[in-house]
Amino acid sequence: MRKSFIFIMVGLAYVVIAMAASWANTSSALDKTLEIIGLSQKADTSTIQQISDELKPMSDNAKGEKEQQKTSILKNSSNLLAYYVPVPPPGNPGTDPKD
Amino acid sequence: MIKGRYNFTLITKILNSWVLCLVFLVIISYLPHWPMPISSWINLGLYALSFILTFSILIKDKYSLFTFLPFSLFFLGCLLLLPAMFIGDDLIFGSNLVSILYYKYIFLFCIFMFAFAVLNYASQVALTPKRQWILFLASFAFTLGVFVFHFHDIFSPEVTNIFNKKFFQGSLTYHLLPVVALFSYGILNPYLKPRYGEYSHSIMTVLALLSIRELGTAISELKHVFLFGIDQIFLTLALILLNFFLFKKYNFLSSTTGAIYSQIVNNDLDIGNLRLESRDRKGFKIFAAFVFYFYQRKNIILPFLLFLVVGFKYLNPPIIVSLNILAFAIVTFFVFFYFIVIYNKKNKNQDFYIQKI
Repeated sequence: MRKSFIFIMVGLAYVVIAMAASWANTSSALDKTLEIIGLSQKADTSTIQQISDELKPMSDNAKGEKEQQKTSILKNSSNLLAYYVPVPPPGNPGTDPKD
Repeated sequence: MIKGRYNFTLITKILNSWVLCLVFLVIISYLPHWPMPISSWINLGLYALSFILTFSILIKDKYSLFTFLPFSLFFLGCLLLLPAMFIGDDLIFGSNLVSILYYKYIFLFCIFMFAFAVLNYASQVALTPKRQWILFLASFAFTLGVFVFHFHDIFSPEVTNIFNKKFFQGSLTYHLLPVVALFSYGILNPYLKPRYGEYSHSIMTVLALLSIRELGTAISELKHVFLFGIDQIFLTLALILLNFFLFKKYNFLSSTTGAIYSQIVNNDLDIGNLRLESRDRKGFKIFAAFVFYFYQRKNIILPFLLFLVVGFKYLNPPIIVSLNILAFAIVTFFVFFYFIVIYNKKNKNQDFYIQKI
């Protein structure tokens, strides 16, 4: 009984923390903090732009198409697991979930 | 007869299986596939070793079945993601769409299994129930509920582009689950008085690192902070540590002492007037010696701190670097404080000894 109580209480604690995190994420406080410490969205887009610019000359080479494909994969990459995400095929019938 | 701390027959057996997996990985890396960095190949190799170790543990120790089965499935899932790299229009078989769908479902399975495995592990070690399957089912049901709540939008095969803002928002709160479970274990430790020792706690520390990594990844993806693959290196280091501790646990469980200890911990061996020193005492003793060493050298700590402050003022690093160092110092202080409190409490209440119930 005591063990079940602890398990349920930890579960409830998780729900409360997750709700607080969700609220913190939607509020602008985190964005402002990131802006102050120099990690704002603006700084990031410039970095990605810089990387794309660096990769551009490669696309003029003979292997241009392959490099372009690599660039698009880089943009679609995710750090969640050890893999890059495959690029969705052109004319893909799939739909995106709404934001 | 085996002499020394490690059973080298076990090491050879595991290393042979692992080398076979690595050879297989090297061979298939020459086949046409989606681009993948070298760090990901290394991590795949480490996932293979983790799978071999967790699978060996759950076969060796009957009490570890419900604890290590989810981990084994999680690492197997990570390995099953590999075929997605070879599916594509210009690749070995299938189409890009098949590749994405395969990737998506295995990926969802992996993130579910990770949270479930960590929650189940923390609760099994903390509560040590007599009927482990009940807690296993409870953890499964709870994680499944949280998982469905967060990701039900992307279950449909029509959804192919899963990595968007909504996914990372869900990922952020979903990956809080293993983090909360592990931190609750730490906070409730003095009250729960778990009997498991250094190996379980070492594994949990690495799992906390991995869980926080998932959380950090979600935040960085949400805020578009480019990580330059640092997280992959972090993952590699964490997996190396995890494999090391998993092997130590496997080695211990394979020994006679480990088998008897395991039976005592799970209330399956009745010994009259039992008073056994728990295995976490050694770690705490080393920690106490470490703190005592600093206490002995207390006269040089203040000048050292002053030197650091002056150095910082002179170097004037970017604010993000200062914040990182400050956060690191605060966390270190809390960790020290926590362990000192726990050590004193355990010493006072004689919790370093497992007594007959």
